[in-house]
Amino acid sequence: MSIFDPQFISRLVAIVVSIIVLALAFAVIRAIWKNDINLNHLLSESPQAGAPPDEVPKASLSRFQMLVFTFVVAGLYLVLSLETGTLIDIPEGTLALIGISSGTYVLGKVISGQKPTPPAAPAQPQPPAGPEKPRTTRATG
Amino acid sequence: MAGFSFAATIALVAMLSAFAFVTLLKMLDGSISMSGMLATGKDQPNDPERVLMLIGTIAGAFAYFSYGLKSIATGGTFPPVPQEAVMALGGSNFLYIFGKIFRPRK
Repeated sequence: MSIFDPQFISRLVAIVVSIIVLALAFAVIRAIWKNDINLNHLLSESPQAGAPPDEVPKASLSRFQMLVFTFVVAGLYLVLSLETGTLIDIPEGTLALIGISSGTYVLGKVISGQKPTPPAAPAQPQPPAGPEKPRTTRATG
Repeated sequence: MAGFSFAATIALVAMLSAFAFVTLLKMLDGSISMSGMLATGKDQPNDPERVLMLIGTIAGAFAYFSYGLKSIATGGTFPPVPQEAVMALGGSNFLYIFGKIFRPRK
């Protein structure tokens, strides 16, 4: 088998891609385990406007429901796909369940008046305040 | 190639299980806070609509997962969700939203 054989190349690509995906998954799990990725507020509501910064927000039931349904549907999809050897279709009822759960989360967020906060823009450095130089004007005429 | 495919599948399942396991472990040891989940605000009593939604979520998810595992023997497709179950879950979520709107938060 030469290195230009398409079958050899496809196998090589499959091995390399699999290793990369598994390494990424391992890196994420390791970061979660070592708290580099902080999951402490995974189920917490967004803090209320004007709340003190050290106040721990309460847990959100809609977030918990989304978490449970995600694990159940993803786990079931994985099991059934591995069992049948193909990617299987997701029926409309299952999509409705996920949609109801996600819709409740979004509605709850709207009602709470909380929107996803965009990342804070870096502050622009201000020039040091000093005595203003007198403008030099060129006499004309 | 079949051996590599099998090994990669096992590794992927192990990684996904590890992710679920780490999340569950952090919920059990209290790192992921679950306090106040059943109340509108902190130091308020539990709300019945939230208890109903929690029971519906856990019971529905468990029933659907076990029903799906049984469907492996009958072709390995996602089991259909009964219309009544979707309506029940939608109703409980509607009550949750209704309570969130009209229940005063202290």
